Amino acid sequence: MTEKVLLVDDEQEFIDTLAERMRNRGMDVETATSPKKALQLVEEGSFDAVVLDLQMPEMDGLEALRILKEKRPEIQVILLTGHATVEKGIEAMKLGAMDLVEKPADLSKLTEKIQKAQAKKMILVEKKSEEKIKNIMMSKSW
Amino acid sequence: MNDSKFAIHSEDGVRFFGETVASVSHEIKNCLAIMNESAGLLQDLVMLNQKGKPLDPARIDRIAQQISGQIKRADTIVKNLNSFAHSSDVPEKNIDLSETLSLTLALAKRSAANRGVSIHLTLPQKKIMITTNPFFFMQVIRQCLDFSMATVNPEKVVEVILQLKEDNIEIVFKKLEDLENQNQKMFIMEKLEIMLEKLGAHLDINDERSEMCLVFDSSHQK
Repeated sequence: MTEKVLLVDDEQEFIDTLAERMRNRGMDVETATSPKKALQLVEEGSFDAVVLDLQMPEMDGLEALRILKEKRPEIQVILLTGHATVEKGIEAMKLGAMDLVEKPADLSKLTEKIQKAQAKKMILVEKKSEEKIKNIMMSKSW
Repeated sequence: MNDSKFAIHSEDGVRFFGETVASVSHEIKNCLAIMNESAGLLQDLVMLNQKGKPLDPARIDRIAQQISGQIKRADTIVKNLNSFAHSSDVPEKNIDLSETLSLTLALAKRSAANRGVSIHLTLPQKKIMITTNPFFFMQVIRQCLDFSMATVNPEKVVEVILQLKEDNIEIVFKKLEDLENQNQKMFIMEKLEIMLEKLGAHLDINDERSEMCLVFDSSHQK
């Protein structure tokens, strides 16, 4: 199944090139150069994984992560960073990030993480659907 | 200078150095990340070519240009970092103010971008040379810039002007807001007190004109 990925980074050349490489590997990729645009895309569509830069203009990557998880708790976020401090890494995990990858990223490792993100999201969505069905069954008298 | 003031002053200097190097290394990582993806894309295209997809020379040329563009960008960043590192070599040096001011603002570019702030710099046509401590000078400029970014107007543009006025050299930070806040003013004045003393400069904060001005008298000019 094709992985649907959203790449978020303010470096246009970086996301354009990475997106092309990911598409060459069969992934369905959308890009955003600002966290605001990313939040809008997440509201409009469904993504298996969001690859998010930690340092961006206007909004800190951690703040973007917090809002993303609030809007879509099932969404899997992989943070990209130039240099992550231990504190930032811990904060990111507490906020629900799936993983943290340092730039320059190894695409094969990033792809593995995206595949894991997709599997994790599917489990969460299935669980949610099961609960929904269970609730319907419980609330009906049949 | 008493011990506690000296300790705060030293801590501020180390923090300024650390923050600048951290920010610049992040920029270098961004350049490396683009070069890494560009090289990877070239490998992808070669692999696709081996499977029968023709290579497009114009495409290859664009990728090569992208790599050389990033090499130039990284080279400028490293040159700036090197100049910054050498600013602490000697306690006093004759410096070109336009050059050192431009360098300090270039090093703060990422920090400004993260806050969504643009910096517009206006330099005089004539070179202004002063003899001063280059590291402290850069530190004071950075503190003034941080203060300006924290009190910036809604358009988020800070104007920085270097000028000769009467017998003084002025570095003006314009388009600031809420300067009537006495706590903020006290904070920046106290923070810069020791360095301004060392540099022989003073700071004027003008609420009505929404600006802050760093003033060096003409005795500094060499």
